[in-house]
Amino acid sequence: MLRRVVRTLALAPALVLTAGIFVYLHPAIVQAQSALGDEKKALITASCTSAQLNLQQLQKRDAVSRINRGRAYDQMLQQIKAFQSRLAYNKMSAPDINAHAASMQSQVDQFRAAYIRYDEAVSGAIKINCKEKPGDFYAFIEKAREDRSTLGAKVGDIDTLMGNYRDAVRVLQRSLPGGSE
Amino acid sequence: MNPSTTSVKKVLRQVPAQFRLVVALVIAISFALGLTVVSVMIYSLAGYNKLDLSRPGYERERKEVQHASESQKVYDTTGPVTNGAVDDFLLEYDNRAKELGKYGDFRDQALSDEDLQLTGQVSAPE
Repeated sequence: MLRRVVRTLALAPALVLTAGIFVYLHPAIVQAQSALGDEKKALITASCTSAQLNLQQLQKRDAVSRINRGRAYDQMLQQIKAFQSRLAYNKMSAPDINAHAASMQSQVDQFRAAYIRYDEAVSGAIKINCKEKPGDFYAFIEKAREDRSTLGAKVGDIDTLMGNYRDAVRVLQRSLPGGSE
Repeated sequence: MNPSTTSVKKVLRQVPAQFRLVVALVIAISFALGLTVVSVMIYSLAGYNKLDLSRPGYERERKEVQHASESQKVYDTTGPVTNGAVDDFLLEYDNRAKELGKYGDFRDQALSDEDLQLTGQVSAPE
């Protein structure tokens, strides 16, 4: 037992080191500088401090949007699961509804992962010394733009799936005895 | 007796009596610090730090977070599937969908050069 404890204690620094290396080599860290002209670099160097302040404000607003959306998605998925449980309890087969629900869960998970990537790019742009490295700073901005676009697309996909799910539930309702529009 | 326990006791006996408490404290504090470092790493790597609005500087944003809706109905999972049950479900579903419409959807152009003031044109303050 003591040998196991000692082994764990010895492992802890190795875990810390591994985690540190992982953070350092994380893909969100931009390796290559964006190809910028001298004029653009000078412009960025002159105005990047205010740009970083704007980014900080944007990051805070986006965190609120992410939390509110994430909570609303979770509540919706809980409700959907409860509805599916009710269908299963009544031994009703609804493959379309189940497929849409599974797709929604998958898209919500992807939304969460996309937000982490986006936030890391924004954080990278905020933390970097933009006066010394305007190219790297702008590369982070471009990455953040791309990631934000992906995030917006995920939100759109979830909206579409929500509509599809609702339609599938309506189809099920019409098949019920005395089903109505 | 366990051989490893015996060997550890042998090592500890070599530490002078007046230093044993200090050694024990150093080991305990090092262990606690190590666990804290690992916890903070997990907190950062899993992305929870990005959603933690309890950090300083997020006072205004904390107020904007919508807390769990108290009016959300707990859906009965064991009742019959009737028209009324489906209507109840869709009512709550539509409420959630309407709620989502109020939140930011990341589809604006917030990272454009104009919004970040990287175009060299000074925009008039609002």
